[in-house]
Amino acid sequence: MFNIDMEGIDLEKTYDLIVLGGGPTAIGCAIYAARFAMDVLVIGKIFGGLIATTHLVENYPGITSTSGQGLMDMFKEHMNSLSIPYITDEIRSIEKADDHFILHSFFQKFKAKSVVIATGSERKKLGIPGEEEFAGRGVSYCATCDGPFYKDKTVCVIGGSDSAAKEALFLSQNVKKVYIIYRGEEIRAEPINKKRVEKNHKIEIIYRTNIVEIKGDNTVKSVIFDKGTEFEVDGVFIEVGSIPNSDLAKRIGVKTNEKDEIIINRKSETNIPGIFAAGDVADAPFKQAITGVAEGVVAAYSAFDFIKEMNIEY
Amino acid sequence: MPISYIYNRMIREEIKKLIKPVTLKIFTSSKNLQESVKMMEVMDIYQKASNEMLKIEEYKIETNFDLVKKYEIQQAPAILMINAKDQVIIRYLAIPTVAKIQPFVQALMVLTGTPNYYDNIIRENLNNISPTVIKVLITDYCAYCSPVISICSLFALASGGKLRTIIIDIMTYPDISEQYNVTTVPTLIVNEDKKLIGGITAEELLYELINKTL
Repeated sequence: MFNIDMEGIDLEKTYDLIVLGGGPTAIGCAIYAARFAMDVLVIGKIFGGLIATTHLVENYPGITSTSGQGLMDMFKEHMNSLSIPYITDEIRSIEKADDHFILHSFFQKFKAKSVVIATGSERKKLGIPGEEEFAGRGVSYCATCDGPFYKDKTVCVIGGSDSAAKEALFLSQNVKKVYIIYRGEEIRAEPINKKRVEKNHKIEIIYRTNIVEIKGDNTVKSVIFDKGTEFEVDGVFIEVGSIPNSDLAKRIGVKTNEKDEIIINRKSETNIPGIFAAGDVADAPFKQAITGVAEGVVAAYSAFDFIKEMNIEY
Repeated sequence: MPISYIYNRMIREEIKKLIKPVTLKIFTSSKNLQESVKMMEVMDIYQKASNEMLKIEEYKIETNFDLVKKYEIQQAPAILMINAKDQVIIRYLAIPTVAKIQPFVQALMVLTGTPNYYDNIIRENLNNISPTVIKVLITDYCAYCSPVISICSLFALASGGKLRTIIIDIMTYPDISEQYNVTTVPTLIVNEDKKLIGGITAEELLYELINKTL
C-alpha cells in the first residue's frame, strides 16, 4: 500500500486519535485533541451533524443567536485553524490490533491508538402508513432543507419538543399556516420558544392528537388523526425525537443501555479501553450541543491520558 | 446582497489550499443578470485570494455562440470544471458559497492533481458503470447537501469523464425543481431516469451506479 496525502490525510499513519462524527461533539473533541498535540483525524457522515439542520441556536454560551449552520461554520473555522483533517465517510467496523485499532470504511482503512465515538443521533420515524411512501414528496425531517418548497402552503409539524417548536417558527417565515400536532397536553419547548409559538398567528397547536396515516397522490395532501378526521396539509415535518447512532459501537462490543445509548463514565470512557464516547450517542440525561462538546473535550483528555499510559511518545 | 463576512473569509481560507493552477470557464447572461453579477462577485473573491492559482474566463452567452454550443450551455450563470480532455466533468448551476465552498475547492484541488478519495473504487468498477449524468439539486442551507456534492463531484473526477455531475441550486433555478417534481433536498436525478432522495452515502451511490443493491 502506498501513502496518500489527501489534504493532510495519511492512510499509512497510526493516528493518536480518530474521532467518529461530524457534529459539535466530534469537532470540539478534535480541537482539544489537536491542542494536546495529538495526531487527530475526524471521520463523519455529515459535517455539522443534526445541529446544522437547526435554524436557530440561542443557547450556546457566548453566542446570543445564530443558525445551526452558522455555529458549525465557526467550529469549521476553528478546526481549519488547527489544520485538523476531516473525511466524509462512515466507519463500518473496528478491530483491535496489538496497540491500536483498525477502522474500516467501505473505501479505506485507518489506524488509531484511540477512538472517540461521537456519532450523534438520527431523527426518529413515526412508523405510520404513508411516511416512507411520501418521503421527499411532502414528508420531511428537515425544515431548513425543505421549508423553501412550502412557500404560502399549509404544513404540519408533528411533535411537541423544543425542536418541533423551532421548526414551526422557522417554517412560519414562509408558509401560509403551520399546525403543530402533538399527542400531549402541552408542548415541551423552552419557555422562550413556547411564548414565541403562542404569539405567532401563523402557528396553531392541536393537542392530544396522533397522526396515524399520511395520504396523497403525487405529493402529500392530508393526514389522518387518530380520532378519524382527515386533515388537509401540503407538507408534514416530523420531529418526534431521535435515536442514537450506536450500531457500530454495539457491533464492536461497546456497552449500551436500554435506549441504545453508549454507557460512559465521567471520563467519557466506555467499557473498552481506548474507546471513548460523547454527545448524543452517549447516555447523558440532558443533551445539548454544549453538553456534547463538554463530553467530547473530556474524551479528548481521557484519550490523551490513555496514550500517555501506553508509553507511546509523540 | 453582498456575501456575508464569514463566507467571504471562508472562501479566502479554503482557496489557499489550491496549489496548482486551474482555469474555470464561467458563462453569464444578461437575461439572468442579478445571479450572473453575484456569481462574478463571488468568483472574484476566489480568484483574488487564490495566489494566482485560479484563473477565471467569463463568457457572455449572448456573444459566444460557438462556446455555448460546444459546452451545451442551457442555463447561466454556470461554472464549468473541464478536464485535460476538454470534457465538462462538473457543472455548477449554483454560486459556490455557504455549504458549497468546501466541496467546490475540494473539486478544484482534485482536478489539479490532489489524490481523489474514491479513485481506486471508481476505477475498479468503471467497466460496470454506464455513462451517467448526475444532477444534484440543492439549496444553500441544506446540511445534507454538502457531502452529497462532494461525493458526486469526486466520483465524476475519478471516472475520467464517464460520470458527469451538475450541481443545481433550486432557489436560483426553481423551474428545474418543478420539472422533476422535487420537494426535498438533496435530490439526485440520475440520467433523467432515477431520483435518489436525501443524504445518500458514497457507498449507496456507487451501488446505484453499478445497479446493485446493498
